[in-house]
Amino acid sequence: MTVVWRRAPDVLWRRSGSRAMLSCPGQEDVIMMDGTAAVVWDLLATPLEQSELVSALGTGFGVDVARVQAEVTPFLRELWSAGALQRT
Amino acid sequence: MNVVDIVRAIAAFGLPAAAGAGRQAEMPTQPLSAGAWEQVLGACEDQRLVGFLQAAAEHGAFVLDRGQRLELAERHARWCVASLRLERELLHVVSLLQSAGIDVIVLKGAAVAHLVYPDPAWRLFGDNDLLLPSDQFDDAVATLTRSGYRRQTAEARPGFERRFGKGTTLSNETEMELDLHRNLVFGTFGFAIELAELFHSSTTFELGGRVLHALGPETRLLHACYHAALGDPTPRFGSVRDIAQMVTAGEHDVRVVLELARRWQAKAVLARGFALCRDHLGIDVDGPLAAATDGYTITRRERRAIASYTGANRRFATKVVASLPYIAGVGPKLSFLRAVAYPRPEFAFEHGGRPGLPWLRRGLQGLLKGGER
Repeated sequence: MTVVWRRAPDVLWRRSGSRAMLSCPGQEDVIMMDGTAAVVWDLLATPLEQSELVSALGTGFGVDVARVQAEVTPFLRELWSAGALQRT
Repeated sequence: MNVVDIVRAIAAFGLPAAAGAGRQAEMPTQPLSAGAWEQVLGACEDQRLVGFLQAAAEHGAFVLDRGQRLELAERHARWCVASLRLERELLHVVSLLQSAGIDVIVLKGAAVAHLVYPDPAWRLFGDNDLLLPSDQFDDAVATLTRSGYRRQTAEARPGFERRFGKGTTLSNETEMELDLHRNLVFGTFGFAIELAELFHSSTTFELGGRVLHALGPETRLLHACYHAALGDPTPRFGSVRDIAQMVTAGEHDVRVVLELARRWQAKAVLARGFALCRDHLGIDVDGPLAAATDGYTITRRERRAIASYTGANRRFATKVVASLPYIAGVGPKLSFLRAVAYPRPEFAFEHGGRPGLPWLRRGLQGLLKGGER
């Protein structure tokens, strides 16, 4: 099944250097993301299928797609649990 | 390199070349010494320019060593986190007020960051500011105090803020400040503003999936001028940068700005705003709006009015005297005078006086001294 990830519309965020900072409704703490995590956030400025996201990261960082998939999937679920992402 | 020139260059970063060209040359092409860096970073904190410094560094326009880059990144991240927390609270407060049927316009801070700048991370802010209709002002204060906010300052007399004031400041349990405005400025220039126009010409912006109201481009530019020109004798560089940013962005209708400035007797404020860009930041804002105020001769009356905000004797009593000619009707004038002559004791104490005769005596002394001549 194809999963499409998008930023949740009620997230507030800022970019600063290599960091992205997110404020999700109902969460007191601001999520701080750096490096690759911040790049994932940038890429999801437009909704992406997971395969597209994985491919973009693999190409951008020169990393094997299988390894990207294994690392990015739990990260996306974490952001989804925090309310930062929506998936369809 | 001169620290002040470097800070001015930072304040001008990102402006169109014509406006900020001269300033770019003052950005350091080598990392600053430890002492100079400490001064520059400290000045940027004070002047609300950390966002511009971060942007300049990211664009390679301001050269830093590794330690400076990390230190700046930490400072900027702290500001960004603070902005996010303020925005989250802003959404909560707007929701509370709108549920109570109260119209709300977001001023300064979040509205300017998202509407005026290419990246809201450039424009940092330390509190939230809301504009409310005068006839809903008391209801708004009551709604928020019931929700846990508390007033930071006493009202001169019941109803004074709704009728004559600029607004009041509240804070929540985490000491987050919320400025509630019914006007853009207290005193002379405030009495000339057609408050309904601020709501009539509002625009919208999106924040966290919600649509919020902000001032339209013309009233937003005027507000930036009021804030910088009348807020402090030496305004923050960040406040002056707002004026330059809005003028160079050119989203406003020049004729509308000039017409409002004419009706609101604010041409001197506009002229002072542009003069601040030139004298304070060394930025030349060109275009028809600047041209219309270039060479504008401030009248004696306007000079005294401005001095009541920025002069050496800019006390509350001075503003009161300067305001009287601008209040329409004998009844309102008397109500205003009665409220300022016999304020509540807590108001008198907050303004450094004691209630009763000592307050009156102090006020009279202020009146007699007046503003700059």
